Parts: sequence; structure tokens; C-alpha cells
Amino acid sequence: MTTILRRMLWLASVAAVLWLAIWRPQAAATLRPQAAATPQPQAATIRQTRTNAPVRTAPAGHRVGATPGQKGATDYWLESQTTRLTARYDDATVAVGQRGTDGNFETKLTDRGGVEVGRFTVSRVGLDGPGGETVLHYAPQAGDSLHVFGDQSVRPTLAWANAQAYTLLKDGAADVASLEWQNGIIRRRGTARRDVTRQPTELHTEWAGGLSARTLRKSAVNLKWGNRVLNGDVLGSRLMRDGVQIGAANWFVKDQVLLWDIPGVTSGSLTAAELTSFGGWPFTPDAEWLNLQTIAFYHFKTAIDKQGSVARRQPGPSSPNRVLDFFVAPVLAEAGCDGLHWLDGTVLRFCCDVHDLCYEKYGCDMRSWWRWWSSWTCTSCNVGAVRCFSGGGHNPSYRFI
Amino acid sequence: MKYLRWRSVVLGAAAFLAAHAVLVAKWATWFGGQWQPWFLNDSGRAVALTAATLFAAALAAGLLWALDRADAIVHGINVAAGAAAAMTGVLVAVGPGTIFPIVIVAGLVIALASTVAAAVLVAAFKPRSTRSV
Repeated sequence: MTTILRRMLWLASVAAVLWLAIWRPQAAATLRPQAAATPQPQAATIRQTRTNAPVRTAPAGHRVGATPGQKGATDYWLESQTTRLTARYDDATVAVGQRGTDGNFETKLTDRGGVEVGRFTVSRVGLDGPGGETVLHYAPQAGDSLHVFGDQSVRPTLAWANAQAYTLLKDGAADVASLEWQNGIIRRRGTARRDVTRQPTELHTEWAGGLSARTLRKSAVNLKWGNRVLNGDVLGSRLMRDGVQIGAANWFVKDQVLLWDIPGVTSGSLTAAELTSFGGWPFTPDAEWLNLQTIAFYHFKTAIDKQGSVARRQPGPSSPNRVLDFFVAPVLAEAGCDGLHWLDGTVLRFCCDVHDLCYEKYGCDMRSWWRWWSSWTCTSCNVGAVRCFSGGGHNPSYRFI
Repeated sequence: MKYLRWRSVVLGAAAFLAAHAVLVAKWATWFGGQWQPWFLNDSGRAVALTAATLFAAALAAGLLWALDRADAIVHGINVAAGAAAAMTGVLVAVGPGTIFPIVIVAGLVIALASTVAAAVLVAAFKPRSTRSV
């Protein structure tokens, strides 16, 4: 019973993290249409609106509070711990955003040759968050610099600063009159709308405490997951601690599935079907979110574990005798390293999980170890596992799956 | 066959099975009760118990039966071989899993490390080898 309660507590904490990442106070959400209508409203106006806003009744029977596309306090707190954010674009431009000790940002843009082509700074003045004032300065290597106020409805983050800097580089910063705000980004007036946050091919989030996460855009082809087959674009995030990979998370864009695995800490999945009470995914996951969510899984789970309020793994099914299974049964695949759970908390667990996934995808069983000629893909799974173990688990082979 | 020491092989197998019996009996209380009772399925205590048992077995085999330093090492390796055989049998019984060859190799490394360590200790107290083993 205690174990069940602890597991429920953990699931509740995961749900809370997800929910907090998308929730923001209703008062701020109420202001958004007004802010959108007036690009740079005065802070005094906002405060006046807050003071005189009527008390509204929340509709009963369903959840409220999610504001699609908007992030909440937890997400901003997680983001505030990011010390450096590196975005690589498909044209080989690299944007490196760094947070100063004063909370201001600076993004440096370099071209494919590593030559600096522009610099973008975000200086905060006054209140933090919506209602505060930000001053943006963009200085390209060629052309005039830009010095403007930020939009009240935009709360700057390192990802936003990188996206804004890259956009100004691509659009070509011109005089203020030729620029306009489009979906929270300053763009040259009349340019086609596009989602600039989706453009990085690689995003590397360097976080506090030696944690970092790197998301790459990949694609899945007929990847079996339970009864489902996953295809299409994948955002794959690898979680590192002090340079060693300790976990991974994948977001399957088309199938709206999030899978994560941080050995010894947490693993699981989340689908749109499981979020029906929220109306599915109430926001569109992107690389920035995936990196922070992967870090959050590790950070919050380990913090909870240290407080002793969450159970360790559930025991696996007991089986008195599997002699017969050894010869006739298909794979005996448990979570982690079968028969070697001693190493579940180490980087070597990746070798086991990748191997299990490989077996599942290609329908392998343990007989492939001695009947190596029967399936070259299964033999590749086994060779990959041996290589992974012999390499200390630092370079788990993913290419077989 | 000149390196085969049957008594040590049997002792190694018996030592491993004895350690495994303790694991099965006390799995839930001493070793956390996770997964199946198997010395590599624990967070470390079961590994330590098994390694200590094999160390003791190799120590005993060397002290009782080794004629000289080289023979002590051979006895130690034979204890590990016996333990590996028993280990493989037990693994088959509890359910081999998807990476069983790697598990066997890992178990063999632990067995060898503990028995050879004991054999080296015994060898220090044995006379130098005066014959080829």
C-alpha cells in the first residue's frame, strides 16, 4: 500500500510539473488580448486593469487555467537556471545566449566559419516579467544597430533572445519604422510569418549544477512502441551531468508522444490521450521545453528522492523456475538490465534499455545470442550491447533502433 | 587437465550455491527484495556477500590443498571456474534475460577477482614453485 501511495505521489508530482509548466495566473492571461492590441502599453495601465478587474466565477466540472502557448512560473524558474543556451541552425549559424549575473542576456551570433556576425542584448529595467520593461540592442557586424523597447507581453528568455537575434540577422535589421512585432518576435514588416522557435536543428541547454540537455531533430521510421508505430519528426534530448549522459527524452511530433528514460531516476511516457482532461497537449512542445522538461524530471525526482518521499523501483515479477523458458520462451525483458540490475543506476543501464528496444523492434529473443546467423539485425542488437558495455556505456549505440 | 583441481571446482560451485541460498532466504529482508533473487540483481550487498564467500572458499582451497605459490593461483582459478558453472546453472533457473552472456561475463569477472585475490594472499605464505604445475 505504501508503495502504491508513493508511486501515486510521484505521478502526481510529474503531473504537477507539467501542469505548472503551462499554467499562469488568470490575471496575467486576462491582460494578453489587451497587450496584443497595444504593443507597448504602459505599466501603469496594466496595474490599473489588475486593480479594477471583476472577480469571475470559474466554470465547474473541468480544469481551467491552461493558456496555450504561454509558460508558467515553474517553467520560468527552470529557464532562469539556464546559464547558456546554444542554438544551431540549418544554415550553420550558431547563436549562443548567456545570462549575466544581473539577469540580462547577451546572444552572440556566428556564421559557419565561426566569425561573429552580430550581437544581441536584452537589458531588464524595472519589474520582472510582464509589466517590466526590457531594452533590446542588436548590433550586427554590418549595418546599423537597433535599440528598441521590448514588448510588454513578451517575457524574455534565452531561447527567445536567440530566436530574436537570429531573426534580425536573417531579416536584416533596418530602421525601426520597417519593423513590427509578429508573434512576440521583431521582424521586418511584411515578411512571411514563421515559427522561429522551431528552426534550430540543435539546442543545447547548459543548466545549474553541471546538468545540460541537448536536443537534436531526428526522424523515426516505423518505431514500435507498445501497440503503436511511431513515425515522423522526433525531438531527441540527451541529458548530461558533468559531461556524462545520464538520460534521454524523445518527443514524437506527429504522434504527440513523449518518452523519457533517466536510468535509476525515472522513465515513462505521456501521450495526448492521457492528457484528455487538459484537452490534450495544451501547448506545442519545442526543443527548449523538451530540454527543460528533461532536466526537470531529473532535478525534481532526485530532490524528492533525497527527501525520502518517493519509493524506489517496483520489484519485478518473481518466477520460480525458468529453465524451460531458457530454451523455448521469447525474450524475458524487464525494465533495466535483466539479471544485472546491480548496474541499473549506472550509465550502463542505457546499454540494456537500448538493447531491449532493439529486441522489441526487430522481434528478437535470447536465442539470437547463439543462433547469430538467424537474424543479422538481432545480432547487431547484441553486438551493440557488447560494444556499449565494453565502452563503459558512454556511447550507447542508437543506430540499430 | 594438469590445471584442473576438482576439489576446488566443487568447492567453488558449493560456495556460490551456498551464497545463493542465503540470498534466496533473505532476499526480501537483507537485500531489498527487488527483482529476482540473484546476486547481480541487488544494489551491492548481494555482490559483496557472494564475492566474500568465494574469497573465503579460495582462501580455504589454497591453504588446504595448494602445494606452492603457483598451485595456490591455480586453485583460486578453479574455485572461480566452479562458481561460474554454478552461476550459469542458477541464471538459467531464475531466468536468463536478454543480456545473459554479458551477465555471465560480469559474474565471472567478480568471481575471478575475489578468488584470485584470495589466491594471491595464500601464495604469499606458500613456498616458491619448484616444479611445473
